[in-house]
Amino acid sequence: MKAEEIALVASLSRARAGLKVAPEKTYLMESRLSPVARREGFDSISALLAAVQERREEPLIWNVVEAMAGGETSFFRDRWPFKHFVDDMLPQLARTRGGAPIRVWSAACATGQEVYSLAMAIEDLAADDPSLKVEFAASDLSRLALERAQSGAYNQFEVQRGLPIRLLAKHFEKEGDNWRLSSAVRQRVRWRRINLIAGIRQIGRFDVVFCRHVLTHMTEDAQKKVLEDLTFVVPEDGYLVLGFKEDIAGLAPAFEPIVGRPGLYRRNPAYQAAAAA
Amino acid sequence: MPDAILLDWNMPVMTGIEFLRRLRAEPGGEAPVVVFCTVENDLAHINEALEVGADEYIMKPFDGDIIAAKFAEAGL
Repeated sequence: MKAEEIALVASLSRARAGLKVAPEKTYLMESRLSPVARREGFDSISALLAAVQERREEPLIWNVVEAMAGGETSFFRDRWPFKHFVDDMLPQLARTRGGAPIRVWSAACATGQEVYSLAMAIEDLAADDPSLKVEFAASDLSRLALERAQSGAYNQFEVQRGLPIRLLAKHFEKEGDNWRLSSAVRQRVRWRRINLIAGIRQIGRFDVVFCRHVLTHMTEDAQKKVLEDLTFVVPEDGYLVLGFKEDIAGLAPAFEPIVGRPGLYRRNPAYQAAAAA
Repeated sequence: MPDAILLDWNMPVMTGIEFLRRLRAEPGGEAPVVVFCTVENDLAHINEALEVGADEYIMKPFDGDIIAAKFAEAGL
């Protein structure tokens, strides 16, 4: 890729989605953009980007940006957040919600493995405790990722990444070469395309927000905006779950880490007091 | 008894599932962590393996460090 093509991709990704695209990672850009060029009928990435620049058509621009936002994911990734969700967050929230549904948002769900991991856990728990009410919302910037997520179909490599075999046997059916999640679990999730930097203050309250391995790919300004907006989404007794290596110290005084739970954050009461003063 | 066994399904002399059935019937045979690793990639085989006492199940082909991950999931 030429320097000006790299600059164009980086600048569109930053302006539209707050993404930080490292110019030296040309292999990453090429691997992300080749399928877009093919799908859109261009014979090269250069031809695709020339069309983006000449036509300035929004759908084409978004195809490029969405491809650059594509995230890596797997079932039960990092394990511990799912354990903390079931063992700590759910019981605490169930006590204080008085029978109202607990609302969970997977904020950059990619192809859906994270939210489905949570939904499978709830499906199993709800079998023993029908009073347990949990609503799941999942969103991503990429329409392609959302389509795949909604289908609930995964290939053999994907279902073997992090998914215990008992859960595969219990919740999936084989369809051709793929494995498809049961409709009971799929129907627990509502899907929406959301650009996290486009303003999320109005999307409603969610008791638990999973936003893992997302901020890491954003510029510092975009990270600050998303975190600030999340204070309008996560209630005072709710939880924000980031990747365990994602450090927001200094970026978001409104959230504070939970000691001994890397990646887990709660609203900072001192910050609320300061805001009210 | 070994701590862990990685077991194919289709083998000479005895199939993996028959081996597992006999292993689990032995004194102390419930202890080893057993992970199947086989081309048999349908639910009927998976369910049979779980019923007979497999701890985890890998379908070939697979990629990455799945063998280590599956043994870790199975408690090793």
